[in-house]
Amino acid sequence: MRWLKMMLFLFILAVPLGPGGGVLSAAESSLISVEEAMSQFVSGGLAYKEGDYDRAIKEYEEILKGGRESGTLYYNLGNSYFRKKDYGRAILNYERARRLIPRDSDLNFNYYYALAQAGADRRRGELNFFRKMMASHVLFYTLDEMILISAGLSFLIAVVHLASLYLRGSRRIRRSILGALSVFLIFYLFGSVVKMESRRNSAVAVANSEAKFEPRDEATTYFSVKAGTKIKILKTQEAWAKIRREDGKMGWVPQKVFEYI
Amino acid sequence: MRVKALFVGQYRKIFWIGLGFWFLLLRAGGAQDIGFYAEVDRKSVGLGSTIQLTFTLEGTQEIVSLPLTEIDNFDIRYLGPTTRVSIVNGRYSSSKSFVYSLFPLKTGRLTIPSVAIHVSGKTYTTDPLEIEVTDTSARLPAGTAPAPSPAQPETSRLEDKIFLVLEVPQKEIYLYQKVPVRVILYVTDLTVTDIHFPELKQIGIDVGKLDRPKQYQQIMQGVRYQVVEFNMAVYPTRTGDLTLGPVNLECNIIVRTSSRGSPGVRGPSSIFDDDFFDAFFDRQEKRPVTLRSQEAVLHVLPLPEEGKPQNFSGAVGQFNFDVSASPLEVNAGDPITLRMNVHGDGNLKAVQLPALSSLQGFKIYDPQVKEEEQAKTLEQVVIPNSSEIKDIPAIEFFYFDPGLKKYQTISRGPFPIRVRKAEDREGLKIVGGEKQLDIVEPEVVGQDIIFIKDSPGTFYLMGRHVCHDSRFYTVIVIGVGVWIALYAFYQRTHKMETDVVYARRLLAPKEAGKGLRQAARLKALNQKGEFYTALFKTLQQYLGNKLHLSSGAVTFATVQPRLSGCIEPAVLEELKHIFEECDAVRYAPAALDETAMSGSYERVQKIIDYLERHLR
Repeated sequence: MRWLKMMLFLFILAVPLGPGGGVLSAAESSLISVEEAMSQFVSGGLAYKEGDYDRAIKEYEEILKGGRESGTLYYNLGNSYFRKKDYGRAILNYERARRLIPRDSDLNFNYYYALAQAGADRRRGELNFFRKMMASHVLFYTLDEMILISAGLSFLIAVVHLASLYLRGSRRIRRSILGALSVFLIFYLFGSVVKMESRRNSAVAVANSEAKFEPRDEATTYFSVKAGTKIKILKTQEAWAKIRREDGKMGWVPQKVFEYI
Repeated sequence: MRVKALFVGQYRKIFWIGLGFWFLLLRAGGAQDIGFYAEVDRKSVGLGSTIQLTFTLEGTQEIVSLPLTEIDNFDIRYLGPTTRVSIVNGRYSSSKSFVYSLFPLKTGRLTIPSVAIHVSGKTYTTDPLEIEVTDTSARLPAGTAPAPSPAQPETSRLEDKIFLVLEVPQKEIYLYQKVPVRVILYVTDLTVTDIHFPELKQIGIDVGKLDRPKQYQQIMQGVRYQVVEFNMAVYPTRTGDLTLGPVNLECNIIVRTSSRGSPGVRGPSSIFDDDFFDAFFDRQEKRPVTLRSQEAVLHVLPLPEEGKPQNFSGAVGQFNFDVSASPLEVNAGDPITLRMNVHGDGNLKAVQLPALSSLQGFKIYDPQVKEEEQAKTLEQVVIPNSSEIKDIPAIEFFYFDPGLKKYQTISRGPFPIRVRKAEDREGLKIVGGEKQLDIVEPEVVGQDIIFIKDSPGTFYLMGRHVCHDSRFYTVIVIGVGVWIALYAFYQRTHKMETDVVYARRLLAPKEAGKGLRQAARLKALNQKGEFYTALFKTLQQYLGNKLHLSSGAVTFATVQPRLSGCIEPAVLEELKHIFEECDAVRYAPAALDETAMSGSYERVQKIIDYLERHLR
């Protein structure tokens, strides 16, 4: 009975602890319903099929303003920008879609095709085996999937641990299984952290620009930033932002030339 | 109404103050003289450091930029303009400054020439400035630096500290011949970062892939240089005298620069002009430079016509050629793969492997060519048309050896094959085989993005993740709670099974309670002897469990030494009394009445309660 009481107490404690907490945020007050989002999505699709890409973009962006997003929505929006030859924004939306549907083959094809068309810089430094493996691992899952897999692995570890205690199995087998599960758990937890970190302050250049040595128009140009290039925003100063390209080069660009992913 | 509002209330005061200020500006502005000056933040600088040159134009802001793009012996960089407006004692003055960063390219006494500008029809000129540039290597840490020697041998130049050399070992070569080229960066007394790969774009010369650069040190004429060596190969594609280079290489030099204010602020003979303060205030910055090597002239000879094979395709160098065919036994209409491999040192990129289009009795498909670092491989599928074919004829590869200065031929084959008739293969006959084989022809396909999707998938709340969902945390907390509960339960059960002392201690109050209830029942039946026996046994069993003793061995004499330090003497005395009472009643039960029994019962109960609280 004492355990039951404790469980009940934990449950009561947990419900208001969650960040959602049942409190409607200010952003949610202007939230559109799923049905409205669906209706606008269909309108956007029709406009695209008629070749009216501006209207398609407007319809799709209305859904985003209404607080709803989906991987396919970003994919279609990316296609609409691509048709308008705005490769920077097309790649930006494909990047956003990759957060939600990273394994979608159509998306990945369009993304790399848009990159090739834009001639965007994707110059990564040399990656060692572990970093390559981690990069492909991180790109394969969404953040939610990684968190759920980590939670599932933790649950499995607890079950195996208790089962081995109560069923009195071999200690060696128990250690092997728990060790393997723990390695997987660490791998997924680390992947989640890497994914969160890689998404923090990531942006895509939406227009061709030049990165300067200093945040001034007259400063010497260090390197060029092509539309569609993925960059990391290190800090901002008035209308300028210090960025780092994937090859590690750093410079200052006007804030208007990029959008956060 | 709005105009009127300007002259009433709080606006009236602001209006008159503004008007007065405007008249003041107009009156003072006309009276200011125009001046144009040049100044530097320091007159003496080490090679490898920068100085700041400021042109100040006073009295007007008409000039947007200065006609200054280069200064001899300096690398110049425009940092930008600054503007200053001041009103002191009603006198308005304004000035505009143009700030440049100068990087001296050699040591010695260098001159910044005068600069002239034209304002309102008049010409204003700055005075020339003298700058003393000393050798960086003489700039030792504070306290150890000797005074600059008057007999300094000769002028040091930046080009002596960082330079690029293009080395071509062979100047007279044949067309298409591979020429190894070394581009070497020498650096001394400077810190260089962000070294780019050298650029060599040349008409008439094909430039090969750059190898990974090598880094080492080299002493030349008594000076130790840090060396970065890039190796590449070039291939001349036309005859005559070709100029190779210059090679450009971009890098950044780390230079020292003063972070202090301008000399105008500090005054010309400020105590902060001391070397000590220079070292303290100096900061470093990257200065991009483009280095340029010398040129080299290649005399490119045409390939000799004498002895030139008819099928020579332009391979120049030293090569080996291997050919293999498999399988060697096939049915008519089945493919045979011919693998040709050319490896060696030469212009592999331009090497054409032997064409087999004229091979009689075979159907030939487009070859697959694979190029590696030192080899080129060609895979060619050939299909014998009939069983009459007995071999694949010999294949010849021709190349020109520049060392021997003559053409060489390598012949491989013929390759005997056995072709069976097609009828021999029951059930495997290809109907319309020729047509089917046509599908392997490479198809030209268009490329574009994939069409939009009709289904939106799941709509999520913007920026919401599973970790923002309270249900997720609820499940996690419940899961952890269950795990802790089950683990704690297991630990307790396990200890009960394995630790007898713990188990007996834990069970002692439970068993004592049972014994007391039995005694209470006997008391109610007024069975005095049995009651005291039950009471005695309960006490014995309880103390036995608590002190981990055999129950039968528990008497006051056995428990007294173990309890005397743990409990109060009064309780110990009470315990002794109970033991004695129980002993006495068992031999003379009639001596006690029901009140005495109740008293004994309560005393035992109290003692057990007390021991339960104090005996750990």
